[in-house]
Amino acid sequence: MAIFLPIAGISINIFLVMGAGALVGFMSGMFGVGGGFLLTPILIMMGIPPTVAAASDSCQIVAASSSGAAAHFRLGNVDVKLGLILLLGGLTGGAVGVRIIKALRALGNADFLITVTYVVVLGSVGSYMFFESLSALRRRGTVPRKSGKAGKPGLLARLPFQMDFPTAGVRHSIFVPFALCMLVGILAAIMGVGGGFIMVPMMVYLLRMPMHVAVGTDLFQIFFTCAGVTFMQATTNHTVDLVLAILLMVGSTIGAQVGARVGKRLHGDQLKILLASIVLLVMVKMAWSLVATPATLLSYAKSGGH
Amino acid sequence: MKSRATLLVGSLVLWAAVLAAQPGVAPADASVTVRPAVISMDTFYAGAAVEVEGRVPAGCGVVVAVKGPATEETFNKKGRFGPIWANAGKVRISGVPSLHLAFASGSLDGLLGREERDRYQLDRKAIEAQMVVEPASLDQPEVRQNYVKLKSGQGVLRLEEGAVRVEEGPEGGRFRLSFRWPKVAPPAGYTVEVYACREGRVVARAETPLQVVKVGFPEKMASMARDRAVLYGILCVLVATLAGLGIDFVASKLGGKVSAH
Repeated sequence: MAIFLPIAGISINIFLVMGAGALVGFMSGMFGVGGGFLLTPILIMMGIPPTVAAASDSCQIVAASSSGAAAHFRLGNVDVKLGLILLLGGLTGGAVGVRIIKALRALGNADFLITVTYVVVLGSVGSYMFFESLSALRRRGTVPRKSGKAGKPGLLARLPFQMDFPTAGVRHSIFVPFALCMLVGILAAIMGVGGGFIMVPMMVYLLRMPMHVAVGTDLFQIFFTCAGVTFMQATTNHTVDLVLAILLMVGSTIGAQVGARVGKRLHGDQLKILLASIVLLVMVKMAWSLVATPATLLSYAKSGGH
Repeated sequence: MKSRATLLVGSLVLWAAVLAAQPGVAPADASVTVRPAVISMDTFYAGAAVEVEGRVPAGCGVVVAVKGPATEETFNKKGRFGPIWANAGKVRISGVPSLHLAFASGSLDGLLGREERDRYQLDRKAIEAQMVVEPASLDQPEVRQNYVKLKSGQGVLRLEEGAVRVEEGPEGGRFRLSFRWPKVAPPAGYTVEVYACREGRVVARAETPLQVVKVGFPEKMASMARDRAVLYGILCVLVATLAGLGIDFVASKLGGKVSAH
């Protein structure tokens, strides 16, 4: 069954689009990642113009993240206070990252640096997460698990403006999550993605948050980021296809619900190892794309990301 | 007597003019009609069946080319840095139609020589030759071939040999072509061109427009996105948020209350 997309200007199979949305929504609900790094290329492969694909993807992430965040909120997995600080840090970092990428482009070969950054960041985060979770799964039941506060270095504890984040069960200086999120925002802007798959590991390993709370809080901040991007794309570039976004939403919101429920049944370490596997798979794909001869030397210039 | 002769000559001239106006009686010409002349893209549009038919002089082969408006696109171009492939810069390509479908009654090579195919931009080599690649310092043949490869993969650059049926009659050749309009082709003004070919050359040609337009709901949405962008932007965010919360509400009711851990 086909439907015509008014902004993309092409006709497309409804179930194909909804299926792609469901796949990404499932990942979003389960791991707290936006899925933009996966969905935009899929839409481009379906024939959607790249600018419309990226903008409409942002719009559907608003739905997936609001659905996922609401489900996690009911489960008590959203730390609103921390989420707002992360949002502020991420937005600041994003603005800095955009300037850095402009400077890199002026120097030339920026895209090469971006791809290498991708491989290094994804490889480091994914490998660390994978092996740490694997060893945690192996020692489960034999060694008592550390509490979140036990691993916090003394220097961070002495920083000013210490604040309790009761839902996450951690205490940090307000500067710690802000600075870390700013760093993720910079990396996300350079890599052209939302950064969920860097943000969640960062919250788990550096802020010592439980995995489920990290996922819920990340979805909470993704909602605001993507709502802003959607509005700006609609008003500046006129590239948000609401019909395409609604089809993706139907698939992704259902997928997000299923993902949140499946995630709830898994242990935190199992979730971490699954996310680590996906991050490593994306890293391997990117590393392969660096050395394999491409089918064509031309690809559509993507505008923006999320 | 003189007036009768004038009347006779006048009648003959008028008769000749009437005969010349009939497509089949003027063998040096070609004619073409396309059905539908306007393809309407409504909500459940899924491409369209297109019929092209007309007349060509006797003994001619036929090439039908459907061309979109000239387009200009920017691409990333990959380059090799040691063992690594990475984007090496932007390439702007112009001077090519957004859509190019060619249908022939036989082998295109057999119907037309290289010069004619280039002149009327009728095959991939002709498109490669006429496209403008910027910056000019790039490896031109490599970029052109990769562009054609990319567009062929998307189905907007296609050649079907043997798709046009030609029947010879007392009034010349009559051709007919049926094809499915590609649903990825965007709304625009297209041109259907017909070339009558003999001994490797074009001996007659005709063309007719084919409009592809948005109608109904798609047209209303597109004009709102264009003319009332702020309202459209707010609508997008609102619809997305409400859809997400609505599905969460329904799912929570269907799935029962789940306790926090």
